[in-house]
Parts: sequence; structure tokens; C-alpha cells
Amino acid sequence: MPTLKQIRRRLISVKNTQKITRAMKLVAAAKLRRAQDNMLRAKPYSNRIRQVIWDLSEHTDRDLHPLLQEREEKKALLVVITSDRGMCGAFNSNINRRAERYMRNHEGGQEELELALLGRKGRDYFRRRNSPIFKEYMEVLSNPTFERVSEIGAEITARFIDGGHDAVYIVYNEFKSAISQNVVVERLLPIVPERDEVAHESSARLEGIEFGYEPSRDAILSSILPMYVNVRLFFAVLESLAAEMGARMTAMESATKNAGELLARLTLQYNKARQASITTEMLEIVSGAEALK
Amino acid sequence: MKLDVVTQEGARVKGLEVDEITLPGIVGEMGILPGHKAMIMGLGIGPMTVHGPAGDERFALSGGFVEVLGDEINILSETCERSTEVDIERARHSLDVATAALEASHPGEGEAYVVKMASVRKARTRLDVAKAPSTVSSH
Repeated sequence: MPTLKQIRRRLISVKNTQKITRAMKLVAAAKLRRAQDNMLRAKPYSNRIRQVIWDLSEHTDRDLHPLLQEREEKKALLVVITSDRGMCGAFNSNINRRAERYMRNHEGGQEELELALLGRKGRDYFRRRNSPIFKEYMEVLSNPTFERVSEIGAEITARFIDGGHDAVYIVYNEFKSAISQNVVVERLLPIVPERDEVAHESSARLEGIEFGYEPSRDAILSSILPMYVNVRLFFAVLESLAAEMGARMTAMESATKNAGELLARLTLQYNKARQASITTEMLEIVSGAEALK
Repeated sequence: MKLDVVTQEGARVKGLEVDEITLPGIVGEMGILPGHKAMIMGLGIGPMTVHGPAGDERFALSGGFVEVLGDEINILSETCERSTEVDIERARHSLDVATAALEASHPGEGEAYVVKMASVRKARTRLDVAKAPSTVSSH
């Protein structure tokens, strides 16, 4: 049985923890809203560029541009997007485990895989395991600008073109809603236009249309394709950030609730102990008085 | 024709009704009238002039693409600023800064010199666009 003093100390510490988790929850909620706004703002651009790519690739021989060419995948790059901070539930471990499983089981059939890491948590995890790391990109998530992500995209693209990697995949948390995230593995390079509703709508309106290109199709392709890679990467970063805030909000919400339950239990224990000690004291006094008679 | 302009910061122009539009192409200015051939064109840095039933409007564009398809004109640009949104004082200031940076550097720098030249062009475009304002009152 812990003493009264011990219980009181515990109570105070749990109360303080609860204050912190509650504050973190509120901060995460505010940041989540901002991250969602960012995503919403970037969405039309990303959709638009996908549609243009689709329009172009419909009429394009895949051999025309190196970023469209599929090669035998011997060596691939895995871009893993985690977060810089913890306290967000299983957010990071889901991503890290997924990437590790992908590597261990050779899910893509590649002989060799390297990692490009965005986020401190992924870096720490894979460094500890001595996994082959191609590059670490820190200080991106704290200030995610399109310029910075484009630099990363350019580096990855250059490496793909010179044959260092035969394919590039992104592993990140897709933002489903404020309370749910979903780990996805998506191919970034070579570019294969996705056959989804955007593409469908696009090919319907393209029936029998011959496009003109200014200055030339090659020039258009070689500037739009790298841009597309950057846009996709940027969007993945934005989604991951929104998902992180959602995960943190949920984690802190339940931490606050758990702290509340613990507080209730401790308070009960404290009161019982207090009463027990009062009863003991009374007994001592009474029996002491009895003995004097 | 319907004009859409989308940048990384979101949609800037949405379904604007236009009769004629002049764009800064990579090789030079390019006008688009109704019935234009389907086309994808790379864009440079410069002013975009839109002539529509509501009047003329000017924008500062930099980079990106335009897709013309039927009566739809879709522009994807790095930046797009409506003339009324440009702060003339700031535009003038950034032109001075960019010009000074360009004068201090040397064509031998290669890439860096090109970037500086582009930023001067961007700044000048913004200023020019702001000085010759749109005839449409603000939205």
C-alpha cells in the first residue's frame, strides 16, 4: 500500500501530464486545419497536371521520354515519409514497418532497394537497422515549401535518369479523415498515368483530337514530366503532414482520457488511504485512553 | 471560351468567360481566339491579357503550360497575379533588388545568371501589369 504522500505526488504528476496532452491535442487540431487547407489549395494544380499528363501520354510513344520508360527493376528507391516528432500513435511505426516489410520480402521484385528518408523518425529507425540509405532529407517537414520539395524531386529524378535507380516508390500515410490514416506505397517513377476518374474524363473528351505542341512536344514533355514528379511528391508530403496531425490529435485525445481515468482511480485510492489513516489514528487514541483507565 | 488558371496556391481564375486572350509563350506572344486548334504550349514569363464581355484584364504569369481544347483554356502556371492584386510599391522594390542582383553578377555564372535574369523579368512583368490596370473593377 503506497503512502498518502506517494499517492499525492502521483496525482499531481498525472494531472500535469494531462494538461500537456490536452494542450498538444489542441495544437494538433489547429495544425490539422492548416494542413488540410494546404492540401486543398494544392489539389486543383495536382489534378490539372495529371490531366495534362494523361492527355499527352495518350498521344505519346512511351519511349519518347526517359521518365516514361519502364525498365527492368533491379535497383529501386523507396521514399519514406515519416514525421519529425513522436506522440502520434502508430503513425510512424506503421510507415517504418511497412517500408521494412517491403524491403525484406522484395515485394516489388527488385534485387536491391535504397531509402530516401523524409522525417526524423524514419531516419532514426532505419539508421538503427543499418538499412541502405540513399539520402536523408531533414528540415523539409517543418517548412514544406514547393521549392524545397522540388529540389528533392529534381535529385531523385536525376538519379533515375542516369540509371542509378530503375524505379522510385513513395511510402507515406494517406490522409483519409482526421481520425484515419492509411499507409500506401505508390510508384513515382517511371511515370505511369493512373487510370482513374480524372483520366477517364480526360480520354473521353479527347476522342479524335489532334494536339498541336508549342514549341515542340519534346520540349513540353521534358518540362512537364519533372514538374509532375515534384507535384506528386509535394502532395504526398502535404498529405502525410495532415495525417500526422490527425494521428497526433487522436493519440492525445485518448491520452487525455486515460489520464482522466487514472486520476479518478488515484483519487479514490487517496481518499481510502486517508480514511484508513484517520481510522488508525482514532483507534490508537481510543485504545490509549482505554489503557489509562 | 472559358478560362481556368491554376497555380500551386490553388485556382486563381475559374471559368472566366473570354473572347480573346494573349499569352506569353516561350517563343513569343501568342493570341488565342475561339475555334483555336487543340494545343499544349509552354509558357514563359510575361503578361497575359484577357479580353472578355466584362472588359479587359491583365495578369502577370510565370512559367507553366496552357492547354487549349475546344472552348476550354486551361493554364497551369507557377504564379499568376491579377493586375489589381499587385502592390506597385513592392513590385518596384523587388524590381530594384532583382536588377541590382543581376548587375552584380556575371553571365559566366551560368545557371545562377539565368535565374537572376528570370527574376528581373518576373518583377518587370508585375510592375508593367500593375501600371496598365484592368478595365474590369475588382472581383
